[in-house]
Amino acid sequence: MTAWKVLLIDDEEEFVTTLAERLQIRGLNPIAATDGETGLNLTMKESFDAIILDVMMPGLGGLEVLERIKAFNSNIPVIMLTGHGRPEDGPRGLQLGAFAYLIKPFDIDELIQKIREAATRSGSGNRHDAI
Amino acid sequence: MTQFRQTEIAFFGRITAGVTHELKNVLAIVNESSGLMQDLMTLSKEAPAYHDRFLKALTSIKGQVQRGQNLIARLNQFAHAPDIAVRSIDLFETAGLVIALSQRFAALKKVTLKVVPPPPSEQRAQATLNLVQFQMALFTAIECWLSLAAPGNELNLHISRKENTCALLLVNEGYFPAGSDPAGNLAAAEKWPLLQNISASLGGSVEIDVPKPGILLVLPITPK
Repeated sequence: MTAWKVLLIDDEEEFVTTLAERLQIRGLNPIAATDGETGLNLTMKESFDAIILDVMMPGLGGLEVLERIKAFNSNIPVIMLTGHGRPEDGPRGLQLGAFAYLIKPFDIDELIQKIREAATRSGSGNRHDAI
Repeated sequence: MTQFRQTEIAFFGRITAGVTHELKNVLAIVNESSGLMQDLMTLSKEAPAYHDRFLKALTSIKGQVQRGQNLIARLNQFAHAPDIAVRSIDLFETAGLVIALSQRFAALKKVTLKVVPPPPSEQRAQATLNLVQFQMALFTAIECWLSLAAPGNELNLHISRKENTCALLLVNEGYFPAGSDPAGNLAAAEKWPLLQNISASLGGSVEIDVPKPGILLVLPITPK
């Protein structure tokens, strides 16, 4: 059984590595990137079942990364992470094609549920039954 | 309000909103780190001696993260108030935010503060006004009452709409000793003149509702 491969893109290194470890404990295969450019390059080189993307990042921001991902492959489900910096960012992400958005800090079960829904919609939902 | 004053307030709001975003990230890291500790404790086969104590402490951390999250969400919403000077607002929602942000001040005086739930017909009461000034008026009215309130008093905010105005009545449901003059004391409160100025700036008025006793703010629902 293949674990869902999930790309995490967030400039808060401590956050992204800890979240990756927690997802790994739950049987997923997370890959962490700490800036938009690295995340975008990984998206173009490898395939992912879902992408978890922070909105506010220095350099290439989350919404810009989302637009580029969607232009490259519109089928990859992207779950946006927002703070409360700009309340309109979450809905804006949905307009640009994001699958869902979560407000930090969130419950990991809520994230797993979104990943499950995203992977099911993209057709990779049956590949994994560990969580 | 002058253009420069408006710019100053907007600057304050922008900085505060930026900081709240950073605080969100702090909470997110605390949340994930405590979650990871909980995951590892749950997975541990050796059942360490402090297992239960650790899990209790982690539950406490989670609770505080939630508390911090609520506070930051309110602070962020407040910080965004100056983004657009005059806007359409939901009166109950906005009053609820001001009441929530004022709870700390009320708690210091051992006073209970709440918005009386609106009747179903008024649940979406809207008004177009200067949001910062509206929030300030409501907070100043609360301050006026708090300067006089005794421990155990209950301040209730009633909101209603009548044609082209909205009325906000902040009533002290507490007990007043015989011979005391709460209405007269309110009018003599240090912040009362400020409350009158803000109300006038919003195109409305403020008066003391004697029989309750309460502070009655009457504001137009569209700018004059």
